[in-house]
Amino acid sequence: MREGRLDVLVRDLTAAYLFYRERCGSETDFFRLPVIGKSTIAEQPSWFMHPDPPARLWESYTSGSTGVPFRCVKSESEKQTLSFAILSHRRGWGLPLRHTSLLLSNRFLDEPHMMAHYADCILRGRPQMIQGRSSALAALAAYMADNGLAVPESLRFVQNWGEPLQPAHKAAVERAFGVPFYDYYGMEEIWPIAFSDAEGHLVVDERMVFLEVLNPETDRPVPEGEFGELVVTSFVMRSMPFVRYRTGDIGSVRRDPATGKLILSLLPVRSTQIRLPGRQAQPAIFRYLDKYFYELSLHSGVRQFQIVQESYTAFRLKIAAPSGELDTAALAARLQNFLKQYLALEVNVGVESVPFIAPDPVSGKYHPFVSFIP
Amino acid sequence: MYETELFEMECEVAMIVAKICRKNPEQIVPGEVLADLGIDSIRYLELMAELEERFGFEFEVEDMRPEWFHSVRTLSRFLRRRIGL
Repeated sequence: MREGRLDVLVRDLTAAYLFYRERCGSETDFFRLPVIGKSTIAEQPSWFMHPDPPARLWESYTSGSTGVPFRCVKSESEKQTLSFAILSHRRGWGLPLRHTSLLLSNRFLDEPHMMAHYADCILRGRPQMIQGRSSALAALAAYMADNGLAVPESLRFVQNWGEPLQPAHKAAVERAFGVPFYDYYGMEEIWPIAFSDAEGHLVVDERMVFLEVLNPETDRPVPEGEFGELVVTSFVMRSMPFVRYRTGDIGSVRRDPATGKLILSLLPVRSTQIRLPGRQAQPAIFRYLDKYFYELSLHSGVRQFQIVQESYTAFRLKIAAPSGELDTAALAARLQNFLKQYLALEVNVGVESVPFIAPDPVSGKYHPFVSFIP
Repeated sequence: MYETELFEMECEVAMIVAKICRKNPEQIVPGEVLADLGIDSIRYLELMAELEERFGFEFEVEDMRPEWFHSVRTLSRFLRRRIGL
């Protein structure tokens, strides 16, 4: 069935859109279509518009990690299909049709006075659902717990979006709010890609998307379970197609043999953040980073962490944790060993204890890995 | 008989849509696009909640298809199948 849908998609693309007619007019193999990104569409946006668009299109903008606005469009029908998909998952999480939800601002952590404001919104509004970035929700949970503020019984769940879900954040939020903290992964361009299931796995919604994991050096698929760049194809979007579209995110997928679900694991690193001399990052470094992040997550004392690449061989590990609870030297040594295995040369890893790690000043997102190399 | 029953369902659905859109039921044309009547993403939730309560069922994942929510007429046809009329 999945191959049939891809075949139909190829026929529609090469018939309708100038980009695909010009670049691959006679192509019938989905896997030979070009892998594209924001810049491909931004350079020639008219080549990606449907020749017979509906009368009304809804516009939105996303900047991703670049800060450059990118125009997204959706038809009423596309919006409805995508909204229904999101709703169907939330109903599975326990959300009633009649509900109140609270959405935390992207810049919430920049404005400390907003903490009291959102706590008040929760107490007065009695929402069934709260959604926001993992780091913001964890900060709000800590604020409410520290101030002895009881969460209303109306709350059914909390939902993450826009950041990889840190295990420490999930534990803190669930402890403070007393409800499940579900994960959601999507993009403004196509909305939903994956949702938490009851077991806490992030499961790809294959009604909506086809997800590939590619080696960023070769654009070839990596073996199942290996990390690589996530490339997504929307089955819904036709007003502007997103086919083999780079997400910039790093992850791995595996098919659960018992349930058939396609389970996604995200690495809290974007492909644009890793800088290596003269080459793209290979899947091997993602494997090592995944192991390291997993080990960090086992330390319940770590509130936040950030790996800063200061040069090709110099890294700094910033940790926000109660003083005296962590052997930071050992954590730094493990990171040094992990990176040395991949880079095959000596790297220096310094450690910095900080009270708080600020989010990105442009996107408002919290980045576990950043690079200062241009 | 079918046409009569469909008409009756359309009248019931039109009344619910009218209530949500704050219009008179007479203003609701069965073939008119619901989005043009002002049914947005928030009001869809209200509409679905009202339909569940009125007809005593719960929307399943496979029920949430845009083509059935296009107009009062398409919604009525869906409901007749869904609740087994």
